[in-house]
Amino acid sequence: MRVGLRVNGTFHEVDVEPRALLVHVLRGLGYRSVRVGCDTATCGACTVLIDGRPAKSCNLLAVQVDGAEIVTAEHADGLLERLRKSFNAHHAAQCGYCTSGMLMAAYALLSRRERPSEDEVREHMAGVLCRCTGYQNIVRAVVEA
Amino acid sequence: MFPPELDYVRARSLDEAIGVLASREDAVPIAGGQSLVPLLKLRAVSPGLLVDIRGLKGLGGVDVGGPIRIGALATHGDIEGHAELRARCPVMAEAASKIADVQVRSFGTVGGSLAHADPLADWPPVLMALDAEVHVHGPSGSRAIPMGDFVRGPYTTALERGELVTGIVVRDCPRGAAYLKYAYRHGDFAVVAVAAALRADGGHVSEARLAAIGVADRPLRLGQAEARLAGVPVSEDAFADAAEAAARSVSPPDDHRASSGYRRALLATLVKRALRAAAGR
Amino acid sequence: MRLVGRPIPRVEDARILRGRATYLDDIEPPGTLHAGFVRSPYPHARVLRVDMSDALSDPRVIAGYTSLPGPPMAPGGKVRFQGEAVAMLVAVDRYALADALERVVVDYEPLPHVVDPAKALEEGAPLLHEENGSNVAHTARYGSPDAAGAAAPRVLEGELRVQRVVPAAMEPRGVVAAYDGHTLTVWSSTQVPYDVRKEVAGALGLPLSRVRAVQPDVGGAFGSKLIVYPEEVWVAAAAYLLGRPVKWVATRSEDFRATTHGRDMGLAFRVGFDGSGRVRSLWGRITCDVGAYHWGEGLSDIAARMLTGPYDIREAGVEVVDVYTNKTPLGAYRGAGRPEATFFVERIMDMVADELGLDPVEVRRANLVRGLPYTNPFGMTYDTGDYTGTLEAALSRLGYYELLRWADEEWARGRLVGVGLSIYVEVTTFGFETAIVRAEPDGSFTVVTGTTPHGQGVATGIAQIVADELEVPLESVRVVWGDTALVQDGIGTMGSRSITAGGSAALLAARRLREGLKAAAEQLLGSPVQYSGGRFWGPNGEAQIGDVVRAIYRGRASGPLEAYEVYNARSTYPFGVHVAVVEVDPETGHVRPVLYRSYDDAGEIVNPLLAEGQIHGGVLQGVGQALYEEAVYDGEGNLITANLALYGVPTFAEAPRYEVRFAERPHRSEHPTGTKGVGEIGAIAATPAVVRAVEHAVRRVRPGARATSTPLTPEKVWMMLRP
Repeated sequence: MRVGLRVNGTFHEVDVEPRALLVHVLRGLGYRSVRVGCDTATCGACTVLIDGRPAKSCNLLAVQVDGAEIVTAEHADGLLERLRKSFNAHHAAQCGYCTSGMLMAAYALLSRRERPSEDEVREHMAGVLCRCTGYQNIVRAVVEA
Repeated sequence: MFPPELDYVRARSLDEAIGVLASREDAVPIAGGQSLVPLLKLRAVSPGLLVDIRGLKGLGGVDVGGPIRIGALATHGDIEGHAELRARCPVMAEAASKIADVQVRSFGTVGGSLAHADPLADWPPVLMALDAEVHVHGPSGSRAIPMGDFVRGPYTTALERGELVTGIVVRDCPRGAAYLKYAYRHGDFAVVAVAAALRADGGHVSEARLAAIGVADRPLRLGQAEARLAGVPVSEDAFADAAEAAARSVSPPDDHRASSGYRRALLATLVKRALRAAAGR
Repeated sequence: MRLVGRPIPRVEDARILRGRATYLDDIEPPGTLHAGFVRSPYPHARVLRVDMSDALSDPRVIAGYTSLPGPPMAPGGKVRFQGEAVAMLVAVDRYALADALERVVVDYEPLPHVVDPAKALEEGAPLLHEENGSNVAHTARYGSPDAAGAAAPRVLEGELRVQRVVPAAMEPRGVVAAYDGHTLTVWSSTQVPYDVRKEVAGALGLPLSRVRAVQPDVGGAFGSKLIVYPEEVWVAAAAYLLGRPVKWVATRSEDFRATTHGRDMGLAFRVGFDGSGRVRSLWGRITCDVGAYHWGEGLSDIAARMLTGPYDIREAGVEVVDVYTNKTPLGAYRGAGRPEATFFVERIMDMVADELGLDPVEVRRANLVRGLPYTNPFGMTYDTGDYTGTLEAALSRLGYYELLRWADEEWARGRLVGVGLSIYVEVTTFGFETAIVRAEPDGSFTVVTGTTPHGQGVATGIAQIVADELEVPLESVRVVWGDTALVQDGIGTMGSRSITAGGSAALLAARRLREGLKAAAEQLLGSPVQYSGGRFWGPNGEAQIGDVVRAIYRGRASGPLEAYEVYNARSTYPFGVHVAVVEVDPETGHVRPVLYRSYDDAGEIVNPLLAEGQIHGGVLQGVGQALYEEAVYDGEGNLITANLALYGVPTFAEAPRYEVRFAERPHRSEHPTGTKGVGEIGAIAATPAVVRAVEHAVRRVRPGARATSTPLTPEKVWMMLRP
C-alpha cells in the first residue's frame, strides 16, 4: 500500500506491506533514532510525535497513520536543541538507547506545558524505560530545559 | 515483533465497515490499535483483514451537553484532557489518566478498549459504577447495552458479529465517584482496581455502585457490598462493612502476580478507599 | 587547570542526542540477509527431528541450519532450557523470516525437567548433562573448614536468597557479519570484541588477522554481553559460508530467554557472635542456580570470597555449589557476586543486631576491619581505606540518625516509613588493559582504549586523564574504542575496571608519548627543553607540541607518533555506606522508595558528574532487585516474566531521589589514576539498604518480622505485616 508520511518536515511516499510496523518503516526511511527495545509496547524507545501527540511507533501499523505529520529525534528545532543541551549538561544519557524516546516524550510535554513540575515529568515520561540512569538526571534535564 | 500477513482496508463509512466485518469471518476492526497491534506482534491473533475505522466521522468526540456522550473513537488522552468532562465527571478523567502511559493514551480508544475486553482493562469497572450504556451499531441496526451486560468473559463481549461500539452514554455521573487502581509499577495492568460511585442524602447513602477488576476473570459489580451501603449513614464503619462484604463475595484468581487471599485483601482496602474518596468529592 | 576531578559533561553525547548513534541494528550492509532462530518451547527435551523443508520452500528463505561452525546447536541432541536454539534460518527480510520460523517443524521428546536447584541436587533428579553424573556444575571451599562448628556465646542459623533477575539492557543482543573475500567483519552488541574475534576465527579456522570484530554503540549490557554467545559465532559463520551479510537482532522476548540472567544464589549460614555483637565465626554454603550451562563461571566464588564483607571475621568458611537447572544460563550482572555477598552479610549483621536488640550500626562498627591493607579469610586483600573513619563521616553526611528520628515522628503521625543502612566493600578491576595514544598531524591526540564502554562515559574520563597528562585542552583528545582494527587486544568494560585499568594504560601511554615528543623537540630545538601547557621551550626557542608532531610526520625530526601501553591492574576495593528510605502502605504492602543517600570512598573520582550517574543507575537496579524484578519460572519450566510488560524494570515513577556524595579525602588505589571504580557500587549496596528499610518499617507493626529473600513484593510485605 502507498503511505504518505511527513517526517521532520520532509514528505515521503512509501510502498509498505499493510502489516509493517511504523517503527520499521521509519527506520527504513533512515530515521534510525527511532529504536526498538521491546515487543510489548512497554519500553518507549520508539516514541515519536504523530500529529503532535507522543506515540509508540512500534505499536502502530504504518498504514494506520497515512498522511500523518511525524517528528523524530533527528529533528532540529529550538525546543529540541534546548533539550539536547540540558540532557548533556545534566548527564541524562548513558548508553543512549532510550534517549530518542526520552527526548520525544519530553518534547511532547514541553510543547504543551512550559514549566512542568518534577512529578509531572515523572508521570508524563513513565512510558519510556531507562536501565542506565536511574531517571533523576533525565527529570532534571527536562525540568531545567 | 513482526505481524503476520494481513489485508487492510480503510473504512469510508460506518455501514461499509459493518458490511465488511459482517461478511468476512477473518475481518477484525482496528481503531487505535493499542491492544490489537501487540497481539499481532506476538502473532497471538492472525486476522485476514483489518478494517480501519479510526478515520470515521462522527464516532469521536466528547459531548457533555446533556447526558455525557463519548464517541467510541475518543482516545483515553481525549477523555483525560477534556476540561468540561473533567468538571462534570472527574472520575472519567481520573480513570483515563491511569491507563498505561501517555503514548498509549494518544491512540488507544475507549471503544477499542471495551470491545477488546481485557479482563484487567480500566474502563469497564468505571463504566459499570457509572451505570453507563454502550451503544453499538451492526447489520441489524443500533442498540444500547447496559455496561453491566456488555462484558461476558475474558476478551468476550455482547457484541454480535459485525457490530461495532459507537459510543458510551453516561446519563448520570455522581460527583462522588472514584477509581482506585493498584498496580505494582506505573502503567502496569491493575492487580486489583475498584470504581465507586456514591450519592448521599441527608448524610445517608442514597445510591452506591461498586465494581472491581482483578478479583475474577472479568469485571465484577460488587452487589453485596452495595447492598450493605443502602440507606446507612455515610461513615468509615459503613465503608469498612462494605469492604468486608465485597471481600467475602469474591473468589479471586491465584497466579504468580498475586495470590487469591492477597487479591481479596486488596479488594477490601480499595473498596474502603474508593468509598472514602468518593464521599470526599 | 586540571580536568580530572571536574564534572565535565560527556563528549560522547553529541551523536546520541541527535539520534545519530549507531547501534547494532543500525548497521545493515547492502544485501543483508536476516537470521532467526527456532527455539525450544520446552525446558528439557530430546530433539528428534527438525524439518525445515516447508520453510525452505519459501523463496524468501535463503538457508536453514541445524549445525554451523562454532558451538553445537542442541548439544548431544538435547535442549536444556526454554528458548535454547534448535535451528537457524536465513531469509531476505525480517517479516519473511518470522513467517518462515513458524513453518519449521521440530519433533521434541519432552524430558523430565528441574527448575528448583534444591531438587536438582536430589538423588534421582533429571540430569541435564548425563556425562557429568550429577547436576553439580562446580564446587569449592574457601576459608576455615572449622567455622561451621565454631563455639560462640550466641549462634544464629538461617537461609537467605537473592532471586534470579534479567539484566534487560535496553538494547537487545544482536550481531551482523559480512565477508569480503578476505576479512570477515563481525559487528556485535558486545562487551568483548576481542573474544568475539577469537571465537569466530577459531570456529572457522581463520587466522585472527582475517577476522575483524567491531563493537558499535551498545545500548547497555551490565555484564550480560561479556561472553561470546553461540548466536554470534553462528551468524558470522553463516555470513562466511553464504558470502553475504547476515544479521540477527533478538526480539525482546527472545532476549529474555537467550541472554544470561543474573544473581540466583542462596546462602545457608551459621553465625556465632557475642553479646556485644562481635561476630566470632561465620559459616556459609552458597547454592548458585547456574541454569542449563555453566556460562557464568566464578560468580558464586566471588560471592563466597567476599562473604565477610568489610568485617573482620577471623573464623570463616564457605562452601560453594553451582547447580544445573533447566533455566537460561546464569551470567554476570552488574556486581557479579558482590551484590549477593553484600546482601548476605548485611542481612546477617542486621539479624545479629536485632537478636541482641542493638543498633545495627553498633554491630557493624564492632566488626569493621581496622587497619588496611587487610587480607580476608578467603585471601582477598583489601588495599586502602579507613573503614571506621569513613563510617563515622558517612553517618553524619548521610544524616542517618536524623532520618531515624524523622521516621519515628512520621510513625507518630501515622505514616509508615523505614530507614535502612548498608555498608559494603567490593572488589573491582583485574587483568591487563591496552591503550594507544597517537599524535595526529593537526596536533590533536587520539586515544584508542582497549576498554569497551557502552554508556558509562569512559571516553570522557579517559580524555580528561590524557588531556591532563599531555597538558592539552580536552577538545584536543579524542577517544575511540571497540574495533579490533584499531587495537589488537584488550579485555573490555566490566568489573568497574575501565577508568582504573584502561585509564591508567592511557595515562602511561600518554606519558611515554610525551617523553618521546620531548626528545624530538630537543632534536628540533637543539637543546634540552621543558614542557608545559602544550609547549616545549629551551634556550634556543620554543615549539608547540603540534609543530613537533608535524615535524615527525614530515621526517624533520625523529620520534614516536604513538605509544602502545599494556597495563596490568591488580584489584582494588571501594568502600561505602548507603542509606535507603522507603514508605510502606500497611494495608497493601506496597513499598515506595523515597530517598537514597550514598557516601563512597572509591578512590579518586575522575568526573563526579559521571560517577554520580553510575551510582544513580546502579542504585535503581539494586532497588529493582530489592522490590520489583524476578525471572519467574513456573513448574512447567516456562519463564513467565518473559518480556518487559511482565518483568518489573522500574519506571520513572518508582525511582527514589538520589543524593550522592563521595569521600572528601578518598583513599587512592595504587594505580596511576588513583581510582577504584564506581560502576557497580549502586547495584551492590542498594539491595540490602532497601530491604532493611522495608524491614525497619514493618518491624514497627510486627517487631519480629524478618526479610530473608528478594524481591520484597507487595504481597510478601503484606504477609510480613499480617498478625
